[in-house]
Amino acid sequence: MRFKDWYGAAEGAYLRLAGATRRVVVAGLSMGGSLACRLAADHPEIAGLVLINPFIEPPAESFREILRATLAAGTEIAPAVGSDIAKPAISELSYPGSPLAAALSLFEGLDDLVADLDRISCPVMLFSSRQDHVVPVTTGDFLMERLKVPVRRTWLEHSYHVATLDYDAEIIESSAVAFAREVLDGVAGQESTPAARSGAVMESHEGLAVERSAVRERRVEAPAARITIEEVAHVARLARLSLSNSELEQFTGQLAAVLDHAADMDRVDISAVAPTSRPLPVQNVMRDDNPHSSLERDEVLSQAPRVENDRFLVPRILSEGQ
Amino acid sequence: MTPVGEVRASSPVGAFRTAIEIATAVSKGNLSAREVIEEHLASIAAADGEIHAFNEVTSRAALDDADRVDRLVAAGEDPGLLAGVPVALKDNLCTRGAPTTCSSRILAGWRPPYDATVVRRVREAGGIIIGKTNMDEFAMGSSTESSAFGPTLNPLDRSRVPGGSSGGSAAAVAAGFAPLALGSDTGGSIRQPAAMCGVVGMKPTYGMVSRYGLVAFASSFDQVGPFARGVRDAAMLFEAIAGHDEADSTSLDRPAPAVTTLLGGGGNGFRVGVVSELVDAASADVARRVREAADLLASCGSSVEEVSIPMCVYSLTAYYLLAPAEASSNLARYDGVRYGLRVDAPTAEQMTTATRSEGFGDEVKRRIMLGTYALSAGYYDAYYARAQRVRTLILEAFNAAYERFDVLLAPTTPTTAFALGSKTNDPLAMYLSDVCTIPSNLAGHPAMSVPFGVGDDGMPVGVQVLAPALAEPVMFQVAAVLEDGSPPVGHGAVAAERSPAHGGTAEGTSG
Repeated sequence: MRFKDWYGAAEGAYLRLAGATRRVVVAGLSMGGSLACRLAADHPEIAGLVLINPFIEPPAESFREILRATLAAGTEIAPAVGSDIAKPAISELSYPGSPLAAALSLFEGLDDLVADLDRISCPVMLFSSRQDHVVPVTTGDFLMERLKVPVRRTWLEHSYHVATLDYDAEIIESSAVAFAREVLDGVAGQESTPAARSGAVMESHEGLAVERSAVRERRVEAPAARITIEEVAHVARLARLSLSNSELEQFTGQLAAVLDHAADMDRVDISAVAPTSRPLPVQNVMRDDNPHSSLERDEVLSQAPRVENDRFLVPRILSEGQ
Repeated sequence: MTPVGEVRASSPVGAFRTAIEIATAVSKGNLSAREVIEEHLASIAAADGEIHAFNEVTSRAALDDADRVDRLVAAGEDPGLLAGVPVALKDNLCTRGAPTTCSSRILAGWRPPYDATVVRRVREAGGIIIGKTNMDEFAMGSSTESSAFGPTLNPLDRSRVPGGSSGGSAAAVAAGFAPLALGSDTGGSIRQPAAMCGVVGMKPTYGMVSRYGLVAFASSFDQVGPFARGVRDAAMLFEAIAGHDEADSTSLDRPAPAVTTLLGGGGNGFRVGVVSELVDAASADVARRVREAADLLASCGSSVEEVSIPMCVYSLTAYYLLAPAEASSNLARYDGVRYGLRVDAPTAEQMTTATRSEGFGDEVKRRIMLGTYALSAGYYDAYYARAQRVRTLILEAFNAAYERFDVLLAPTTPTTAFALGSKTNDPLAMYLSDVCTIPSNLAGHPAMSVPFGVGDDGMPVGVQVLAPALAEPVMFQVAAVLEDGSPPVGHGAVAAERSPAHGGTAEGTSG
């Protein structure tokens, strides 16, 4: 399967639908978002576009070289991408692997698409998950910079890549339906100034906050900067751990995911709350001042790595020149 | 359930007796403690090679201890509440002279110079330590796959995890290797594996059981608690280990509450709240069992209502900042100087770094890093201090709910036991499997998991009973009602225990 095969299938479906109805709004998730954009660029009669974590920004040439080399070395299938979903107990039906040749063809399809993004003329609704482990979160910004039409962007605070199966599925569904009604009524295309765009973003933030109104909440401020590999290296030094470069990279991604999840707490108003360091009140307890036996010295020392004259033996504390 | 059949077929008749039956028979002189231990050692020898519930089986010491109990009985002395009952210990409970590894390379071969208070109490009650069970390294994990010595398999389906971090203890009880085990619960590490292996697991009120001699992970959360195949057995072990200990500065200054005497049967008129947010976090089959459990309680005379505790949703986040922060501080002691592994290097600091880098596994490193980051200059307020305040709000929200309810009901786990290897590469997905158990650890409240039917995949489902601080007696009463009315668990061990005359064991010998 290559890009033209996928696009052929999508375009065929669109044409059948267009033959049966007057106006069509196209929606797509991930690579489906790439195909939806391609359709909108080629068919100016499309009334609106709904994109959920679309894959738009073509990967760097260096990455493609790695894939080509892997392919040349005889590996045709890479581990699958699937089920990037925050909600527990939900999994996506996905293929067990990703064929590398098909991926390279998809990237070429994206190269062509990016050149044609300015041809898209219908209003666009874009849903972006704050945490996405499949498509870089920057792909939404990349898309917005290149589109010439108004974009209404909604941040999904609780979902990963496959957002349509995740916590925010209902929000996506109801917002997309409302958007489709608007574009079919011909009102959505009028918010074209940047101010109006950001207005739409703020509005959908509030829409999400309402979902949890029972908790004391405040508006989410700018997301904290993501942890960098340099910070992870610094923390490793503080924790007396020596990590290889690949461990550093792996930990940076994993810690970032956990810390992103922790940004949830920013919604809770803690201004008048005292910290809890122990769940139950503890008072200082004094024991009677009587001598009692302590651990057996020989038994304790028998477990030490190095001992000399009944003492723990350690290497020198200071290095040369200190 | 073929694997269970295999376990049962290779287990001696006595290996699925309840702890109460064993203790009663041994104290009356109708059964020797030696015979009990021999039967259980035979079960372990037959099946633990594959299941790997134990890091160390303390056969010789167990037989010596059994003989001591038998001599006491012969001399007409009281051998204690747990007379002759085999007890498996999670490998983070210190046993003097016997290896205590926390399933970590950094402590491999360490023989503590003292016993944990709970170990001493088990022995004083006539219980017999039969071995040390496998666990996630330093109790950090939810599947027992982060053990440096290889994973434990779920005895009910060996392609699945037993849960964690006390997965070895849960598996040992489910497989009939011991009727009782001790584990530790920092974010669900007793209740979650109990649910996944179809046994009972209980986390006491913070401070109810001594932490002296429990290797520290996160000191404001850690609690030691019992595993058993039935609620009444769990109550007996809880009574044996609970109560004030002057060696633990956070120990509550009160005696162990009496619970076993309350469990005669039936319990009426409890006010039960079903926590919507936690039910919503579970898969449909697990959620359905929780609702059936609620219906059962209602049919037994309790009032049952849904309750929303929206602060619940922040539990996981607060926990995964606070617990690693405490861990990063607690695990600073592994420096290669006084015990455990040392990797030689020219200076002390280089030696410490080399030792820790080689001695700790990935998950432990990840949590130390996360905790060190959360405590470091510039991030302390954003993460650690904020999480401590969120903890306050969660505690207040639960206390408010307990003004209206005696106990709360929730799933123990979002799903039944998952496949080995399915979450090892995604720490966040692994952490999410603790979402239903963490609130009780943040609040310091007691909670327990009771097997209640099976999920769509035939694996056991655990229903969790949560109670306010010090309310263990009512929690055990509700748990006993659930146990008595549970749909079939499809699990040889539990079925055998339930049948009055060990009906299940006959099929075990014929197989």
